[in-house]
Amino acid sequence: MSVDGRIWREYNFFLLGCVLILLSISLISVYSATLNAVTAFGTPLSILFPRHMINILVGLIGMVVVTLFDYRLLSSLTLPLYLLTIGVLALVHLLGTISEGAQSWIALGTRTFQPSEFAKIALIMVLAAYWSHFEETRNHWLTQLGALVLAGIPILLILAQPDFGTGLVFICIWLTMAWGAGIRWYHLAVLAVLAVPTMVLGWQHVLDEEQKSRFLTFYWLLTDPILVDPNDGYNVIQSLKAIAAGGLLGAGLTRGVFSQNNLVPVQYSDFIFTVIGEEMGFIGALVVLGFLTILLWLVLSVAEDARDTFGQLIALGVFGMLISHTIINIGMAVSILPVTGLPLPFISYGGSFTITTLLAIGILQNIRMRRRKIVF
Amino acid sequence: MASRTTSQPGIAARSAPRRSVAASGPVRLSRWRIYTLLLVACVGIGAVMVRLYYVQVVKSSAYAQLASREIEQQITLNPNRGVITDRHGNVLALDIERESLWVVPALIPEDSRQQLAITLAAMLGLDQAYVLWALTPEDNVYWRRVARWLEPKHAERIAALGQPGLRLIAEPMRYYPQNEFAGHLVGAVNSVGDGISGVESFFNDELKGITGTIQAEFDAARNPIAIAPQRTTPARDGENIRLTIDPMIQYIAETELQRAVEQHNADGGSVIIMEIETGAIRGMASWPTFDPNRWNEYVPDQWRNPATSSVYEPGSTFKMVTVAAGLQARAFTADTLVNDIGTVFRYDTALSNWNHAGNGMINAEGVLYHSSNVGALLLNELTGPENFYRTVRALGFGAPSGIEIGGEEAGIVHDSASPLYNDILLATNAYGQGISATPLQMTAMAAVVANDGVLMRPYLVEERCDGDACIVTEPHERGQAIDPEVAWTLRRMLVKSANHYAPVVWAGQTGSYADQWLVPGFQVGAKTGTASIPLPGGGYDPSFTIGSVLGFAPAENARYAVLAKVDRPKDDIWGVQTAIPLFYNVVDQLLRHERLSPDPSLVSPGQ
Repeated sequence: MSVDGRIWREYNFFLLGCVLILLSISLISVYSATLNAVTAFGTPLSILFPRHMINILVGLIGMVVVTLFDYRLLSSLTLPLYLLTIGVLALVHLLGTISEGAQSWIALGTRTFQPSEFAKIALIMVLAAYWSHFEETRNHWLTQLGALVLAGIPILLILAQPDFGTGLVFICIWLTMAWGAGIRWYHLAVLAVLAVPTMVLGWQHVLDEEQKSRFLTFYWLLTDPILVDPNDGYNVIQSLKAIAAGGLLGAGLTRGVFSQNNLVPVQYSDFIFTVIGEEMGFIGALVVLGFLTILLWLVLSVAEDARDTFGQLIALGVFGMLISHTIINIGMAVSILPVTGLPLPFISYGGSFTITTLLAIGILQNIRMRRRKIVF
Repeated sequence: MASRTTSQPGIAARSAPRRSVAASGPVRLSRWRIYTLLLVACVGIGAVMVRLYYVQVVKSSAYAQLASREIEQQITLNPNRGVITDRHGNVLALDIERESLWVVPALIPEDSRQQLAITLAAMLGLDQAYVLWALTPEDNVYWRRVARWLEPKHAERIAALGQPGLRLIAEPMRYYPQNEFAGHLVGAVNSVGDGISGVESFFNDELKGITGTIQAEFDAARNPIAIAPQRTTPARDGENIRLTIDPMIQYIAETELQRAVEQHNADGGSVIIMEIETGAIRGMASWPTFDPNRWNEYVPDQWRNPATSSVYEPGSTFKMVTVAAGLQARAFTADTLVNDIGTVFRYDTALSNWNHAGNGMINAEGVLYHSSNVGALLLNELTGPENFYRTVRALGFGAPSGIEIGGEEAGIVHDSASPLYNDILLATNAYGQGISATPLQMTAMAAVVANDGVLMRPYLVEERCDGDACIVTEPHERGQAIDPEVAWTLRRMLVKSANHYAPVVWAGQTGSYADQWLVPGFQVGAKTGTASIPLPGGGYDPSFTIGSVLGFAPAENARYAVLAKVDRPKDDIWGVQTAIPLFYNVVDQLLRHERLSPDPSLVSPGQ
């Protein structure tokens, strides 16, 4: 295989542009969100901004690097990558440091990294490779069952951390890819029927009180706000008030009363959209949503044009990851979904996740550059 | 193309040979499946957009109002209440921090509620049912204060319980480190921080200081937000007050009063020591005592200082006024004689001496010496109501003295201008009946005699300091009540009167019942009084009296006016047997404390 210079003509510069615009918005909002904020222990969060720039830089370099070789080379790496991921996720249980109630971080020196973020890529790759391997029978129920087992192991490990949000993202990734791989309606129906007792069991045995209260808080917010314990509903209520305070045009960068005064929790990551909503207003929020939508559409177009099933399914997996993060994160900020603590792609602060998403975009560009057109 | 196919590594490559339509390219992803995904994304993002529009545009102002109500608040900055000290700076009242117990009932597990209630009730001496109620959750109640101002040891034990529903919140508490000492003077502060008696009440606003406020937007940690404009009124601490009270003199007054009251099983009493030249109160003790730390264990009447707030009919000590008024009006001289026949009839009423015996022809000095009611009455008839009441008013009766103690009484004087006046009052007022005054007014009157006729405003506050800026109380002359020569004449009479009662103290030691120096080495002026206690239904209590001695020491260049008053001594119907030793003990120690050298010629044999 030779890297043909001409394939760079196929590089999707719209996708790149979209990503760069979102990253710019990210830099502005993270700067504003961390300008005056402090942690519960009084550490100023402004130290996060330079780190965020480094994360983006590392991610961009990674994004370029993964376009330099044919993505199909990756298919041979999927099995060891997958097994490694399972191993690391298991290791988290033994070594992981507790962070924000979930045991999902591994400390590496002074920095931490979150194996579940990279596990998303690994899951996407392994599922894509799996279905392209069983191309002929990929909508057969046995094949779908095998995929469910492949996805199920890391999902269970992550739910056990417990990291409900990431688990949900994994389920979305699997669902999107299964959909693309041609899962049949009755497969989905059977799974849906099986999901009910699973969810009941999960509510009773897997979710802890904290997570249950998040769901109940969300449920009460929609039905009967009186029942909401101000302590539990605090994050959601604060976020909603901050966004409302932004109005049409916003308070202006670094001028949001809630965002700048620790009145919004985790405003640099999980609630970054709250900062955007308060400081850039409805217009600013629409711009961010607009670019995210365009980006998602471009990701789907990569899937559509991919030269093989492996590439198609990778693109769909990335789509599943991005759409679930986007909707869960923003839905949480505007109280139409419960609080699950997921970062907003390309916008939130977060080392592992920023790098993961940029790597994923790099792989998509790789797929795009080697799309079907070249063949003919 | 072929080379590409063979170079396909991994799982995908191995699957290639089995592909039935391999030649025409890979299996296509169904277009409708992609569109479904796009639709899902659009619906999800659309829902978010609609919600955003609703929150940020439609409902924005309603939410914004809610938000500003939460973050814009007023925080009260509490000033420190001023410190009260005696004249030497010993602290009598100050604010200390104590922890109060608050309970968040929702955080207390139901099964441990009963147990916790028992523990807390036993520890804090509270009613168990009350504590249990406080621990029980209720709608719209986040937390309750269960007990205020815990003892530090109790706070420690509660903290050690480790129960998250129990919160200890520091609160300033008014504390009186010397307890009952000068308690009536200092007064107390109630649970909302307002003075209810004494100096605490009189200078409540000054002691309290000015409560400051911050009207601003606050962050989650209740710190004012820097970017929002704020309107701050800083708190101003209360003024510190230094009293005129001399701790030694106050101690003498309190211990001697207590001894006399306990020895004679009396109901109460007062001792007042006033500096003559200035009017400064150096000691003022009353019985029963009052501990401002436990103010809520007393009935409200007991918060007040009896020496300034309770009036009594002064009795024979008031004859000083009768003589002063007559001499001042030149209605009689020191040599004018009246015929004391023991009992006279006025307006169909028999008015008698204490023993119903007459003393014959006596002058003003004899009236005081024998404490003749009839003599005083006859002298007063010479003076006439106009002259008499003019002097009564000039000596400060019937009006508050202006001392800085909350709840001071004015006394009751029905003078000739009053609609309640009748002629018999002129007669009975001559010996201190039918007129009432506070112990402090009596003391101030005695001071006038010793101060060459100048009435001083009694005062209790030496200085008030707002930070370093102090207002020092200047002695205030309320006027020349009587002429200096009248005062001098009266003083000479009162020295004789005092010596007349010396045997009560000294007879047991000297074996003589003749007049002798009451306080050996010094001339002391004094007049006794047996005040009858009016009954609610009219007339006077036949079995109990208020015994008092009013005087000053030394007689010339006097330092202090002293009142010793004992209420209802049980073994002394005339009261003077109780009050005279009390007066002597106080004055004796007072003069030692002043380091005045005694005059050896003023000592009677045997003293």
